[in-house]
Amino acid sequence: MSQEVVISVLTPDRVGLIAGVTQAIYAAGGNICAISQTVLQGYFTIILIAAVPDECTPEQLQKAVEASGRAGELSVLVRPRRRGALPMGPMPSGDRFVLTMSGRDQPGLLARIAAYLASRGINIEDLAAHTDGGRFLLMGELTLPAREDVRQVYIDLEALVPTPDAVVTLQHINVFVATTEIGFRHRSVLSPRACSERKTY
Amino acid sequence: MLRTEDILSTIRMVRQEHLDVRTVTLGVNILDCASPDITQACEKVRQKLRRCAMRLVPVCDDLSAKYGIPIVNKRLAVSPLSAVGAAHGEAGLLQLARALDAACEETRIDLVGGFTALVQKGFTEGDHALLRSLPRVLAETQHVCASVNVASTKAGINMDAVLLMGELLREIAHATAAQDGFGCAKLVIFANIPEDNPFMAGAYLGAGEPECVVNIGVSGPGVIRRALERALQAHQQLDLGAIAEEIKTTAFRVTRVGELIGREVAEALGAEFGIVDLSLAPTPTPGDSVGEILQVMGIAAIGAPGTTAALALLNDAVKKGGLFASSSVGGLSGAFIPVSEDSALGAAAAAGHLSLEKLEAMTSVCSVGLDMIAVPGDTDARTLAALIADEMAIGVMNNKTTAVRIIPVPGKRAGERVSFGGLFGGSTIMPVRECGAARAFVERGGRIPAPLHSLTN
Repeated sequence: MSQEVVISVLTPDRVGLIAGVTQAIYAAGGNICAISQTVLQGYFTIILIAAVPDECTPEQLQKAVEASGRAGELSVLVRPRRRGALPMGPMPSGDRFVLTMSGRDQPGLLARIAAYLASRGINIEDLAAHTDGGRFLLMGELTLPAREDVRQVYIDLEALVPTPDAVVTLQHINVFVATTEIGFRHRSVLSPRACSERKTY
Repeated sequence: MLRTEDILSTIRMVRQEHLDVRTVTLGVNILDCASPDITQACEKVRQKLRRCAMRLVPVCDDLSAKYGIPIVNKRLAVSPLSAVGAAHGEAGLLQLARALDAACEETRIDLVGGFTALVQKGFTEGDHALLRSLPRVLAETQHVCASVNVASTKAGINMDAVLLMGELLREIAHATAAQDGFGCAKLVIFANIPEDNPFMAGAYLGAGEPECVVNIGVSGPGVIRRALERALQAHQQLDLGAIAEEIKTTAFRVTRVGELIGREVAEALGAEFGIVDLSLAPTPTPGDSVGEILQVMGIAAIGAPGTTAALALLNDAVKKGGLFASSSVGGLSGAFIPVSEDSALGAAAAAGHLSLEKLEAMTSVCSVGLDMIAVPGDTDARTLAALIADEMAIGVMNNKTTAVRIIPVPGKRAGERVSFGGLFGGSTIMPVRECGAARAFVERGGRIPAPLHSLTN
């Protein structure tokens, strides 16, 4: 029998980190199911899900992964993965939009944006931001509930960054997919109902 | 997964390079509106256009907000009025034109095309009536655009029609003399007219088209100009092959945006999706000019030797990029060179670099033809007919669409300025050489036979 665990690792970046972490999991009898890793301004972070034998406790696995680095180098967290429903609220269904914002950096700006999005039930699916010379650039993917008026959301977001040089864009993700992916086909091309329902004029 | 650079690149195309959808044109079949009673026919036309097109503008506005892409024009293309109104003569056709005009007002649509006659092989009674009605229709309506197909590769050139169009151009110019002959800007004379063209003034719904169909005209030339400028800044020694590649890549992305929006408009309206027209359509706004692309490529004076080759490169690369992006390409799909609507071409004409003869040569490698060219108001009908005949010959012999949209400006001479306003722009009136010298030729009438290569079956 095996159990699934969630493992996260945070550390300053260097060559060989993933090799060390994955080797430690393998040596503990584990198999990696999913992985996401990024480096942000020199800091390495990874989250992964692994199936490990029942007799391997999270504490043992945490020690094994920590031991793959130098003494005190890795901050490791291991938690059993909860089976069944996750303890979260209902996730919105709707279309995916790409938000970009740039302008003069202000403390609390991201908190205001995130609070506004949360208040409208808009989920942040992916987010990246950085500052450079007093300016910020934020880019994220959002799921807008179907009831939301994209024009109003855009107006509200623009009002959150009131500096004159601020630029906000909010566009459906299909524009970016269409302009960058060679194999893109709009859903209506393949939709069988497109033929049967087109007689309503 | 989307890359940050790709997202920023697309956003730059929209915000800084004016990527837009130039026109969403809804084609509507109105042949079923024909009626022995003209009042009833007009009412049927209005009702059908209301039913099919009332949601066009709001749907386009919603999609424009959703995708963050401006949709500049929302237009209608209808079945040829020469068929719909064939039984009602000149007066009836004028009434039908007014019904189209009213439908545009009701649906907040910019222009409607389809006041059209197809006379490449001869005239019907309906065609004659439509042609006779043109001066009043183009003078007395705001939104109606007309087109006349006088030639095709299969049929040859109907020189009787060509001569008649020369005469009509003068009549239309006089009927709209207070607007510097502006009525002529709403009339296109074609060889090989396309049945799915979304651009005005030449749009109409062809015989093989669906009941209700959405055709898209993609963005203007500003995006391609900026892409070339950026590429040349990064690599100053780019050769012409690399320039063509850059144009292809940009055309690919522009076309994809057009198809994305076109399919969704069609779905929302319950219509068929037709085609994306890849034509680069300039506007008078500096930065949105086909001429400026040629300048970026290295043609300092548009009209100088080399201009035609540069235009051929541009036209071909746009088509290749667009065809890779979409399997539904149609309409005219080439670079437009409308002199009054393109600031750089207008400037070249004013400076004397660009002549009618050079423009004619350029039309052999692009679409559409002699477009939005102001000529002296005293240019005689035979000379106008001869200009039309030359352009038709290029289309017929090269198996491509060509067109003439030429405006004799009443009371004005070569070198004077004329302004039509808005997207129609303005330009210096271009001289026409050797006026009257082809009089005997065009007066012979008849039909220039179809070329040998029309016999393909």
